[in-house]
Amino acid sequence: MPIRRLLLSIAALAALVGAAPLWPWLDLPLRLVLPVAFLLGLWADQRGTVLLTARPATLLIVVAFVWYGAHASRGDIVGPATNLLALLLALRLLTEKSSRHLLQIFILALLALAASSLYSLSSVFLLFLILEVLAIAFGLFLLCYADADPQAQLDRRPLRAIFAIGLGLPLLSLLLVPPLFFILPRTQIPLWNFLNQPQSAISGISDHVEPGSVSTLAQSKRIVLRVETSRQPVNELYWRVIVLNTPAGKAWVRRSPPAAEMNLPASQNGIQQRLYIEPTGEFFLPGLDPLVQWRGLPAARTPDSLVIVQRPLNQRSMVQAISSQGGRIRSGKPFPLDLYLTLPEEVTPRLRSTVAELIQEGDSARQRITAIEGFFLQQGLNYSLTDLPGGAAPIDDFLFAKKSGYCEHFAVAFATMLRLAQVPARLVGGYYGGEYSEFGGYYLVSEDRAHLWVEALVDGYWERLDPTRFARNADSVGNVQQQRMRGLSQWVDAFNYYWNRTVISYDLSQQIDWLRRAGKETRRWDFAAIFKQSIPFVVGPVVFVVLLALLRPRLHRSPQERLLQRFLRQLRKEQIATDDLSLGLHTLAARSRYPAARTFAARYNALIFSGRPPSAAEISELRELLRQMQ
Amino acid sequence: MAQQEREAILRLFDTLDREHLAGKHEALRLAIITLLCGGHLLLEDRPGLGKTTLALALARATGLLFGRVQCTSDLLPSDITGLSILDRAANDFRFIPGPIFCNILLVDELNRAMPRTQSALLEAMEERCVTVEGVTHPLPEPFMVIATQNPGEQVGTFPLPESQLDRFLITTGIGYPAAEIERQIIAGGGIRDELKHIEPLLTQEELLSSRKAAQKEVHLAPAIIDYIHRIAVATRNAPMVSAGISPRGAIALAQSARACAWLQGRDHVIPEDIQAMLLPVCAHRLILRPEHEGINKREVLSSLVRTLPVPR
Repeated sequence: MPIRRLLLSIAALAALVGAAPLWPWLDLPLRLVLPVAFLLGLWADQRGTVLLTARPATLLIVVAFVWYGAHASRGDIVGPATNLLALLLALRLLTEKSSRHLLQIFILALLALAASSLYSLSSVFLLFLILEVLAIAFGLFLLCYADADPQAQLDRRPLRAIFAIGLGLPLLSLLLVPPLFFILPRTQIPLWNFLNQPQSAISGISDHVEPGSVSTLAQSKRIVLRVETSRQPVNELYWRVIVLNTPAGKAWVRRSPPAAEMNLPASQNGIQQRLYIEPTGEFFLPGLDPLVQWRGLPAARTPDSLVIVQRPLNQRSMVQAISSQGGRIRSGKPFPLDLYLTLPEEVTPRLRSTVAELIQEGDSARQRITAIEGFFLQQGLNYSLTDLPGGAAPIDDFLFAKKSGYCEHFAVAFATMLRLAQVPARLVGGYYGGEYSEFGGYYLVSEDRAHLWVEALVDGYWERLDPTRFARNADSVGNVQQQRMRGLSQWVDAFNYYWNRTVISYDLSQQIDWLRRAGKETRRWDFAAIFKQSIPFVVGPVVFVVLLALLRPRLHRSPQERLLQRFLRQLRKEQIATDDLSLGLHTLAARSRYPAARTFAARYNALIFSGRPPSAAEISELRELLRQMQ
Repeated sequence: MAQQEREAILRLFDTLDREHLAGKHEALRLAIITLLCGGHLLLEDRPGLGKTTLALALARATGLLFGRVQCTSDLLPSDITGLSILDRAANDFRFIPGPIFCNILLVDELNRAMPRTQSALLEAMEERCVTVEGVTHPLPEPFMVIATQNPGEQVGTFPLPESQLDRFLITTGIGYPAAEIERQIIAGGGIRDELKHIEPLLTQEELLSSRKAAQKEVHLAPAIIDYIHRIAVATRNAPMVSAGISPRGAIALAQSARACAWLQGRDHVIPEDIQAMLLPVCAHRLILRPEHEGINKREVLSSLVRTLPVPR
């Protein structure tokens, strides 16, 4: 194989592996240019032509520098830089591929791969990184040879040797990566954060709920949250994100709650959880309703039991947290309830009279809630994502006409009725349910699980009330495609999860934690027992190495020996006993029904006993004879 | 490879085998190998199987000088080697060469000669010269003795001591011919007369150069040398054997294996050559322990070889 061709293929592979992860983040023109340049480069390699000479290429590079330099700003360096990088790579793929240019391709590809990690650092990155390291190591190795003699042809044997070294070195270094990863000191905040762009948040949760407009309906399967925790009953799986407390026009928005409401909830018997949060760009930390304690991100608690982080959640982050159980949050000192009793504009007389009738049943908040719940049940409401109520008074339309809607309609209607009945109420947005991965022991919460429910203040406690439960088809609410994680996808998700858990969220505090635990562990070690237990682990490899050394000559057979073994195998297939070692090949071959066997024996004997070194032609003739025997 | 010489030898072999010595294929092949190695042949078989015919035909076909000695118990060494007589005219002793001064000497019923004569003959075979009255007379080249002996007859014989048997490169029988061939032989009658008309198929030079080619042009791989050595050592260590194959025997085995390979057109010796030549070359060299004397030496040897792995 010509070394040059091999080298060009490796360079193309390196470019592909480097550029592919970056591609989705590039500007549209480059998204088009890069693949075209790649394909044209391949075509040019095949034809041996040069598509772009040095001079125009340099000119283009200068223009690109100026263009992207002008577009870069303090707030946006990464975008122009990555686009420039991609453009340089594209140009290099088109120009003549001298050794220097091939080296540049390798460097640009590596930089492109590194740049892609600024955008997204998913587990796939690891795969690309390994591939890239292999390709570049192998490519550099070949480059040394190709530079000395571009016309060189590689036979199988040197090719194999080059492959072994080209693969061996990076694989060895990749083996060193995990220990180094865990040992090298980490920064508490990712070093390159300042480069990172805030990602556009795609969240089913919004701080603005407007029943009747479908814009807030999230049906994306995007994963927002993985939560490592024990299995919880389904009616506890409310992931609290945001509280909406004020109607504004047709919508409900969030206002700052009275500070006096702040309480310090008890954390005994809380539910331990590790939250792995996908980047949302939001400030609200999701967690099992309600989060009581957290560790891992600087954040503050709001009076209405939300957790607001200091920086938006633009990276995958991990938070260790404890939530209290039962869906009841104790309210703080008495505070003015006006905020939670403000009525929306859209309160129709029909709604008002209905509530007025209902509150006749009792004076206490509890009795009124029960009455309204009864009304919801009685109305025979349907949970539906289609044919939604709307118009000027969507709540009225929902309760009395359409009688079908989704969680926002249920929650807003319920909260409005509670407020009409003088029961302080608010809307809580978040997620409901989750798929439990038995394999990983975690809940997977996706975008389409976004949910809205109600909290009402009863006897000093905010109680969770989910009016959607009163839908006639309430069972279908939590079951949003429960069968999602099956087979392979579960494994893939579990892998992603562990990637996030061990790699992405591995920071200084975890490192210190880990070291401390390791130190504590080692103090308790009983070295005698460890020695005893580790004997098999020591003896095993030693025995293995010794066996390998003994078997090596057997494993490392010369081509003649391998041919002989194949020949004997062939004879055994003919039921010729070859285990009598006192019989020569000539004798054995005479018993075969193939004339080729006799020729093989004669040629093989000539090879072995004539004292001449075997030639490749003789070996291949023997192979051919063996083939004839099959 | 000297193709010409090989073809000449093969022609000789084919002609004799096909036309004159039907049914003696193996014995003839061994005789030719002996000739190629410059050794001597001992034919051990019952009378009437064509031992003499074989020797005669070979001598005729090779165009070599043929001599014959019929051994009896009163045969004297000088009857073989020749003797010096007084030449009255010259008033000097003149050496009258005996029948040994020829290229192919047929010694019939060697075991009938008395030991003294036997040893004189065997000494001449080994030295390839005859010393009479202090004068050494070299024997012609090539020189080959084909001795016959009758294994069945014991009365009035002096069996050759084993140490003397070592001097023969190859010992073989002839065996009864196959039924069909024997019927043809019976129908055709003896061929003694016919033998007189065999034309030489080979010149002496051709014979000598093929002898050289067979020994020089055939490669003996180290693995084969090792195989021969292992066989020799195995015979020495075998429990039934008191004296195994000597270095001379091992040399003889290598030589004859070379000739055997050369005859088959190979430039290298393969283990099968060794195995093929082992019994004819080595069986008679074994000296078994007295308590095992009844056992066939060929059996002992072949069972020994079956335990040794061949080089592959």
